[in-house]
Amino acid sequence: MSAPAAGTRGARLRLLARAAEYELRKVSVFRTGFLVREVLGGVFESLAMIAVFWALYEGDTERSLRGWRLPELVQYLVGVSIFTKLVFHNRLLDVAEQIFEGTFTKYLVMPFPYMILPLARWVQYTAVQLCVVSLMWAAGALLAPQWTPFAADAWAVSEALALALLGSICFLELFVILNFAAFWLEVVWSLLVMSWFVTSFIGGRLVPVSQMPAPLAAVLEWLFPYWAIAAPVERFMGRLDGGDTLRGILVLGVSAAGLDLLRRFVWGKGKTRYAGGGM
Amino acid sequence: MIEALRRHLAIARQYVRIGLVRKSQFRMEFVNQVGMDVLFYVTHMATFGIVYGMSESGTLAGWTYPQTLVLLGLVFVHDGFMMTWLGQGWHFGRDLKTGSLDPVRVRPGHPVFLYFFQRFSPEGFVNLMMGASIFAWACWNGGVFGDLRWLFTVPWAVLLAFYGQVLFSVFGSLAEFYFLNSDLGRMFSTGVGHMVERPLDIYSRGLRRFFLFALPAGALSYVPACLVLGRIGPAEGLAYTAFYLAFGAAVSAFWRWSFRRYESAMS
Repeated sequence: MSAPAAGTRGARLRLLARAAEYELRKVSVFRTGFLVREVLGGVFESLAMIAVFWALYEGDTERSLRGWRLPELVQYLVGVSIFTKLVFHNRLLDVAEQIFEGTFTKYLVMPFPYMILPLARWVQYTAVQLCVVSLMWAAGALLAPQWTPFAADAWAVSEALALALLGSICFLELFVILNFAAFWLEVVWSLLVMSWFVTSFIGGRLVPVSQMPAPLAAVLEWLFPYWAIAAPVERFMGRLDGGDTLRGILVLGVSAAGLDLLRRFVWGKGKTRYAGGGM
Repeated sequence: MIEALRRHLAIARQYVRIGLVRKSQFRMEFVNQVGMDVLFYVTHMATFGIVYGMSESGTLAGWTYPQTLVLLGLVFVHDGFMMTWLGQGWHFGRDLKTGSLDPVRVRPGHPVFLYFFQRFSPEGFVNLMMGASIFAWACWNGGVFGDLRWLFTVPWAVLLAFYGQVLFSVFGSLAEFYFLNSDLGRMFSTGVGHMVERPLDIYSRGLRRFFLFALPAGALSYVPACLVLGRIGPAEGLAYTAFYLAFGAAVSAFWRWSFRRYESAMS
């Protein structure tokens, strides 16, 4: 079976679909690993923070601290845990490793743009995670409805999904750029971990951005991690409205376009440095 | 016994030498890893700063912010130790899958030591020093040095945290023998690790006991912090230490027994 010719837009789309299919086969071969990586990943951080807030409120569901009651905070953290699963994760890319090992050469001579392969991973990841997210939310709604966020209205669902998926594209672009940094730095895993620390924190993964000092929160609301991680949940719960979604889409759209330009620039410069020898 | 210790120390010295040579080739990565841990410290302390900022009583499950900083200092210390000596543990699942453990099986030394300690990291050592500095500052800030008991509780706590990190890493890797390429070890280190790097008193009694006795997580930072802060006395500290030593002996024996499943190419 030969790969489809990659000259036309249609052929590239078919190639994308086939690559995504292979990516799906790859991640589902080891079933325990699939469960651990695709389902349980990122759940423990939220559980730990729920315990912290539970202790802070001393289990009092009526008390309000800085505009949040305990059930709202738990729903927020459960929601973040679920929605963040839609956000592309740095573990899905191994470009930097291949650049380091000198096995990247094949991608430079293939008759299609390299970015189709990371995009195929994004497609596979998003398809799997949409199922996981739906199942997790349904399980939460059935088993613990008081601690599971429910959509404020039908628009909230579609707007939250739009923010999360656009945010996921921003993260894909960011992680590809950081992987390409291996053309100069050889080893970049610490950069990737660092980026995850920072974006998780400034995106409100552990604590709602509104609980941070006001000047900091005001700045963070103009950065894409907030709109990719926290805002989808806040829109889903009805804490943000349609106007906020428009602002979020603007921030995410501009960020995605900027990151895409940067990625193309880094790719062009990086290729000229690549020697294919490995270390 | 002394001969075995001398042999393992000689191997450790070689690991340090090789680690220094290897890392001298990646100077930018050195800087990045130090930066990475600085961000790790900042985000942890900021997260708890925000949580305590929301608190009306100034406490969290009976812990004040200065006390929690002592605990976080110990988290940074054992994390620095892990980065310095136990970095190879992150690759255990992959090494098992690709059959890269043969040298560990045939070389003279305990396989746990040979495998987990093989990747000495100078930048991890820098991070360990930074973590130790934050811990010392937190102790000073928390009034720990006002009582001379710190002369034995602080070294005891640090050694227990180091030992706890080794125990935690080795314990976490056990599942990889039985569920190949599952990332269970990594999930254990990051997921459970995340849950226990805060005062365990925030959890229900049952969950706290689970973390303390079913998983060796209490030895990482909670028990050492309680020891330093005087939340438990020396007798209780000794009992915990003895328990974790026995736990470690059992984990070591089980790891060696599980290692027999390894057949060079497991995937």
